[in-house]
Amino acid sequence: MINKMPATAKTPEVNIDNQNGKIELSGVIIPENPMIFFGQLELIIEECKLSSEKLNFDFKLDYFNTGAARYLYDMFKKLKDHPKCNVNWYYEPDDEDIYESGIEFQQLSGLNFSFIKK
Amino acid sequence: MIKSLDKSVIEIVLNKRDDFDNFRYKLEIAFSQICNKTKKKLLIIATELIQNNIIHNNSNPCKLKIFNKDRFLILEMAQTTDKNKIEIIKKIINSINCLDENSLKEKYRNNIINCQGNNVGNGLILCRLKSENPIMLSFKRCTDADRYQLRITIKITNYDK
Repeated sequence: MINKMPATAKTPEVNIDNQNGKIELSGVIIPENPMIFFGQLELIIEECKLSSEKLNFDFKLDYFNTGAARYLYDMFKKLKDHPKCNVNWYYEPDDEDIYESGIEFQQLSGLNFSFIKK
Repeated sequence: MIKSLDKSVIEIVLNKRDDFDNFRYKLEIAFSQICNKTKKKLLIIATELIQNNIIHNNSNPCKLKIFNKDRFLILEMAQTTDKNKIEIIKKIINSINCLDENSLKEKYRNNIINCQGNNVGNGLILCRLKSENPIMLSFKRCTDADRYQLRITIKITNYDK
């Protein structure tokens, strides 16, 4: 089943395909309290894990604030233990910030990212 | 590229709940004529400053002013705050200003790895990294003795000029 969490002014659109273990985030993550959004995302990930042995993430982010950065790091660290997790990190060719953040998350979490130009 | 800022000043005033909920749209519209690289820096710095105000200063009204001066883009954030917060902000900014780029990046990483809860403390570090210049702070007492008018000024080296 394909589900969608619509974007808000401070959270990204999340597209979920449980059957195929696909989760796509696009937009910005700038809530003042990131715990709420990342709590929901954690539930989505757990549901996906029940339906599919693979987990495929597409991150198409324009920006995330410093509060969200810590939650993204926590999430990637947890995902590192998943045997079949794939992270696609999309970036605009002129957006060094998003590209370098992806590199940093990869290094800090130990999870392998695929970097894809938009 | 930043023609719109050559002669004019961008001013964004955030007063009410709705302004704080949708501040990103206001910033995007205000910065729409600015070249991408500079716009991105402004968006990052403005977002972090506004959210600091929302989180630590009860969303008190604030005013953001952006203008050109010499080879710098100046971003000024003005807000009122409690007397007891002045010393805390002063201490944080002083500690950030004395670090070089590598130390700032290391502190940023350590905060991501080690901090618990929502208050990571990386907002002003990121502002300093993006601006490549020290963060300036000025304040004066309001008529109400316990309140202070606070101004955070961030200079961004303008490579587009």
